[in-house]
Amino acid sequence: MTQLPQQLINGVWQGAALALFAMGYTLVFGVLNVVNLAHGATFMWGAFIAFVCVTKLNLSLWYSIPVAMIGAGFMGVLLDRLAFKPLRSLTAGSLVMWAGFLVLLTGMLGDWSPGTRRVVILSGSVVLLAGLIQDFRSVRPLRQREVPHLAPMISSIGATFILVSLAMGEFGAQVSRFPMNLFPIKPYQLTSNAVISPIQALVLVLSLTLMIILHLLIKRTQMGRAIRGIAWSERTSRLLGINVDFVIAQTFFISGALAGAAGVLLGLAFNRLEPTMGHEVELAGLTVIIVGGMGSIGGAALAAFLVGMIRVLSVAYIDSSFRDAFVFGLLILVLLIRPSGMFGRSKVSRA
Amino acid sequence: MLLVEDLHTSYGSIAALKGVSFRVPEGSVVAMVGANGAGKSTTVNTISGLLAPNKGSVRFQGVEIGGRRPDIVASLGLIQVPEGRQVLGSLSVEENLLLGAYTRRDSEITQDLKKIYDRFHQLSVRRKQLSDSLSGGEQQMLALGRALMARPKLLMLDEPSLGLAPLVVNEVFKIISSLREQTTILVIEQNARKALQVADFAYVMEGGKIVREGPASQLQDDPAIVEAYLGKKL
Ligand SMILES: Nc1ncnc2c1ncn2[C@@H]1O[C@H](COP(=O)(O)OP(=O)(O)OP(=O)(O)O)[C@@H](O)[C@H]1O
Ligand SMILES: [Mg+2]
Repeated sequence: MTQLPQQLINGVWQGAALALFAMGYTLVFGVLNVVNLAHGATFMWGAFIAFVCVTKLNLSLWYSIPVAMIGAGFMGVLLDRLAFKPLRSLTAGSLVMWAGFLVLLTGMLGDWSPGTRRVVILSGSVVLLAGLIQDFRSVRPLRQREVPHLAPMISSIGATFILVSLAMGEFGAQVSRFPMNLFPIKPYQLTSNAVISPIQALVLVLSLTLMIILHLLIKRTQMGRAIRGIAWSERTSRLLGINVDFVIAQTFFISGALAGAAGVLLGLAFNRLEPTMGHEVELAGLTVIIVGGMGSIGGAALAAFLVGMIRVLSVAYIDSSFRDAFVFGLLILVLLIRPSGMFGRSKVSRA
Repeated sequence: MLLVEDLHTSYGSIAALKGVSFRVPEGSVVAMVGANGAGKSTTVNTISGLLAPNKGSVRFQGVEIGGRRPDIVASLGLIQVPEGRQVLGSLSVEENLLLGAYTRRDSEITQDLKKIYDRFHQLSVRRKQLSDSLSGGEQQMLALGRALMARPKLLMLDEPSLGLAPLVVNEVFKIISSLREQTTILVIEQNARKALQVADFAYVMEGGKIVREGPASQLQDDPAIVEAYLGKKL
């Protein structure tokens, strides 16, 4: 048991990164009542965007992390406008976006000469952007309806496939690694038998900072109040003058940026990037948001530390193959005792 | 200020409004009364943009707003206090009030918040409390205060007295008449007696149409209205 302090430290920094992922996950659920299963793919892309910044563009890590967050944030917005919003309210812009997106996909995945490829990708992006702008400006949708919860969930699974295969095409299925000299490796000695490496300390500090910023954003700003207002009642929020679709896009941006940050940080800490890296965190994240109470941001943060700790301790003291069994054990336990999660409102949030 | 002409709205194939026309002049209080299912809420929801009209026009300050998005309508200063109050239960009283000012960009929001607290004392005591935990009367005050935070040019109140105790109903109508100097008001009511007391002009709605209209004092004395909407006591 001498290594317990060390394991606790590992549980804390991994829990912090997991919290970033889960808070964005639960934020979107709170607003839309939809589980965005492509959240893990956004996480993976965040890591790869930073990877491209560092290896191809020679940016320093301090620029690469914000760029990855912004990139992943926009990916979240695109995800909403391509996979979720057309189901709620379809506009001419949505159709144009889809056309542009298909051209973009053919450009990226097809077998083209480099010149043609660039032209196809560029024109696809332009059409996509034009559609996006039209979609944002649209005053009356072509069709507006209530959608069953299953449809958006399935379309987010579809989005995951697309995002993962795009990453496969771009980076290959093998593991990519950040250059070794990116970060000092000499660990800080915390106590006589516990250390934390600089990168792990960075994960912890940055995650906690982002958690505080998110908290302030949600609690103290009009945007945060609008997000929570929509989660309670979309209709009432509209009557208050809130442009609901715009606020939902903002929510997806925040959610995506947080997933991207988690992706970069965990990618750096384990120095292991692969297109399927989102799958595992997706499962852990899903457990976290259910245990924390669907839609509860504070609950997700606390549950993330709990799940992070369980994962680390079960690997250290039992067997790594049991890790997920313990996490799911917790999930089932919570579902049995408190189906609304540890911090969930027992009342239905929609009146 | 508000001019509604030949408005038709339907839910799927069910026609709820069958040609509604009325006007709300600037500075006035106009009442619209009618029984359950007459189409009163459908009318305000169409004006607010929650429902799209099939036909007809809604002009607000000379601008056609029929079929516009609800947030655009609200940002023009046409604010609805919906039926059943609809406070945002997971937000505190103060947060509800602040969201009421969502469309505003000026610097006097905190000043207005203070004015609301002066007018509604119960709210200032409970400012940090979740609005879900307020009583029905307090929620109605909150819904009114939240709408006032938008500095509305026209306030549409959909059954503000619904489900409230008689004493609270009196208080609500006292507040409504005190708002006269501040904004133009369209008040929808089943409680015709109270509504006609505060209003200058009134419309009676039935089966998706306006069936009577006239100065409120005149309708108050009209035998047919007395019998149908006011009971025999008057
Ligand atoms: N969502 C809906 N779907 C279908 N029909 C509806 C819907 N809402 C209202 N209606 C119908 O439209 C008609 C008008 O309803 P509306 O709610 O406007 O009446 P109201 O005058 O506000 O009544 P109340 O005094 O009960 O609030 C009614 O016949 C009602 O059954
Ligand atoms: Mg009604």
